[in-house]
Amino acid sequence: MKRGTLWMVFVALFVWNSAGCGSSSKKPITVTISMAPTTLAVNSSGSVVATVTHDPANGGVIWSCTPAVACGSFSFLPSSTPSGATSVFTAPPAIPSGGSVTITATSLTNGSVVSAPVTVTITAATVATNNFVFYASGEQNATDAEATYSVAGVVAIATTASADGSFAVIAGEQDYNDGIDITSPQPSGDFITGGSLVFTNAAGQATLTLTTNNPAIGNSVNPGMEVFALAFANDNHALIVQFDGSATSSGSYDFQSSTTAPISTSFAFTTAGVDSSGATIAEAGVFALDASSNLTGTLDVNDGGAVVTGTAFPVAPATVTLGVADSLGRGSIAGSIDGTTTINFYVVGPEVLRLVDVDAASGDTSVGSAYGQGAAGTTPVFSAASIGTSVFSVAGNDVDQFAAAGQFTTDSVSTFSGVGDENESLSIGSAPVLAGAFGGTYAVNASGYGNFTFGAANGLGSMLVLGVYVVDPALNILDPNNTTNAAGEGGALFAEMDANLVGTGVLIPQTDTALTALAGPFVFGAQGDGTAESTVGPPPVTVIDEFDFVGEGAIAGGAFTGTGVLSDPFGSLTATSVQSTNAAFSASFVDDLEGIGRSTSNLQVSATFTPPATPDFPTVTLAVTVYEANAGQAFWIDTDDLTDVFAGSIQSNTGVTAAVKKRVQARTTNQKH
Amino acid sequence: MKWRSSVVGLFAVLALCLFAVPIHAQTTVTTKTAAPLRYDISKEVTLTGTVSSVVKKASPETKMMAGSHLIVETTSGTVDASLGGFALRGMGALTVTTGQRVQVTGVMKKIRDKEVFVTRLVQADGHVYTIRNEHGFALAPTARERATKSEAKGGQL
Repeated sequence: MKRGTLWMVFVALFVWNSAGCGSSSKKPITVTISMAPTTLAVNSSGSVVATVTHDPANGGVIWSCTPAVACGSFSFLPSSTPSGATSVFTAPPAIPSGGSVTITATSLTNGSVVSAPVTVTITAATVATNNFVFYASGEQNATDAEATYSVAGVVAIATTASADGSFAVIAGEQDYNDGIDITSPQPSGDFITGGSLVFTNAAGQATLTLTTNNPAIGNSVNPGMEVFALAFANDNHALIVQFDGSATSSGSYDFQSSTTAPISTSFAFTTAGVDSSGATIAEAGVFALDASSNLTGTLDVNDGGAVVTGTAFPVAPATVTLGVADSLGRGSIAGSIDGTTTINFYVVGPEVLRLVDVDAASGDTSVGSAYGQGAAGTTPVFSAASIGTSVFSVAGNDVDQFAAAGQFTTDSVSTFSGVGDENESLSIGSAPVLAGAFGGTYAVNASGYGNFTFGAANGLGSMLVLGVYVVDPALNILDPNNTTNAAGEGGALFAEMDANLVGTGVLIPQTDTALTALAGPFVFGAQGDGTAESTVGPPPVTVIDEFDFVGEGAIAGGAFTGTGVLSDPFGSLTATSVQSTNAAFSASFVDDLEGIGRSTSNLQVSATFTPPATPDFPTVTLAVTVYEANAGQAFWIDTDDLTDVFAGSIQSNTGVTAAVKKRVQARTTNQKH
Repeated sequence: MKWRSSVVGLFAVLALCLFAVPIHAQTTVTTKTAAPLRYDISKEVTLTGTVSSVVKKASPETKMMAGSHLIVETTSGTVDASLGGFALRGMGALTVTTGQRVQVTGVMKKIRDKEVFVTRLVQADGHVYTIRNEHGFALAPTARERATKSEAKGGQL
């Protein structure tokens, strides 16, 4: 009997255990995605739920999404959930390659247990949008980190206004890099998940608010949010400054006419920023693209005065390849042009790419552009004759700011001569040059690569050598989508390539010199540095800092008036930390009558605030010089000695469309009610 | 005749060498000195002295170079040591007070008819602060802020 009893006990234990009534650890953990969307529009959200069984620790799951370049690092909120709990999955802002992403849930108790993958098809936005590409560079306003930063991105803006008159930001991507703390996660970059474009007047001033998934950027009140002021020259182009107080910067905002090929088969490019040591850096050159999008070209680098020019890239066996852009026109360059920097690009159109340095490891930051040298499939051939009478502007950045502008003529063979203004008083200390005669020799090879070397006896300030990189004669550098201003087409990029200064700029052909031709409505903008200090708030810790402004106005007979946005968070121009949306600008330009398109004036800048939130600042008077390229484009620089310096442009304002104006009127009406 | 042939041959070789430059040399930068070098490191000197004044911000009216300055009393006289815009700001900034002994390395330049010591390095309290690079470009606080934050993170481990 005893043996029989024991036997029965063993059998019972075996059956009980086999039935799973004993320790659950003997049963394998399973993870099943029990709820997930099958289709989502870009940037929209859907609920996901995972069920976990046989997990004695009740550890739940962590969610993941592939491919990483499409999904980013913030796809799920929360990123991990208990069994049966809901997380919200946000679709990427761009349609990924293949049109879908894959999501999985992984056991937090046992990382080797992963759910079956679920495929989510990503579709286009459900509302009609237009895409715009933007870029800017400037100075951050963070305690102990007033770093130079670069940002480039793309936003999809609804084509139909909301009930309040604003245009919704439906989706977007960007890459932000300050070289110290903040580099957008790669390969995804930051996702722009929302925001708005609000026109503040019918002339085309607007505020662009972007909500991103990167809480490190923006100010402490609205982490992840950036606010830009825009001055539209037309429906497709605006000058842009960041003015949310977290940073100040200048750049351009342009309609994206294409997200993919065909693109030019050769490009000229410049980028500028700060290297890992904190010195200013400029890189420039030309490159050609083969049928496989491989880049080969010639590179010039000026890294804090250390100049290396004429370097062929890539150096075999390395390769450099323009990657495939996503549905928003964002892509990455595989391999490095300079051997260290990783660059992402945003397609503006068939002939324009914005370039931004995105590697966190190198500790540097830069942004710039590549411009086509001719239509797709053509192989342009350039020479010294490609550059004739031109107007130019070259400037540094907030670390070592200087500004130069001028007009020159060439003999189309090897010599140039002209007149220019140059202000390096904040960087080198020299007195500004006003209407200084300069000249020298220049060369341009067949690929549009060359240099301007200033003569020993007729330089312009401390400028010694400018690298020159010629662009498509049919391309408008300042306003790439503008095909109506033939006078503004063509020209070249400049980059200072000597040990004295580091900066970049452009030259455009000069077709008008009379100040009377520079008439009508205009947009204007500038980026500069000043030495004033804020008298409001804690004791100042800064001595030379950046300010930026954009605005809209008109010129008639040399009389210039305008209103706009002044971003002066450091008080470097106004001695008051200013984020003004109603700054007033006025000047009375006087033609120097030398027939070179040069005129001068004092520029008055003022603003009125509602006390006591922000006190008014005294009217600031800046000495400026304008060089006119054509009836719709001019460069101007600030020539004040030891107090401030800026460089910028004045561009014809042909107006935003009537539909936009109606939206402004609608918004104004709504606000009144 | 032989020596003439040799000399002619030598000249021929030299001529070949002279003309055998790379094709891209046509556009290679040649650094003619239209303007003096911003910072000629071959003229760099090191001075030792006592700080008599720390000018945190040069007033434009004084026509001093923009940025901050140290006024240093040396055995050979008073030196205006220009520090640029970043030396006294940000993490890891130069900390120096009046009466402190310092060693400054840089180049003496005449700017606006004034002798200015364009400072590249400052040694104070056993620390060497890099103010400018070897070409005289002021260095933003980027590198030292990154280093300071990196050290801080390490310290937390």
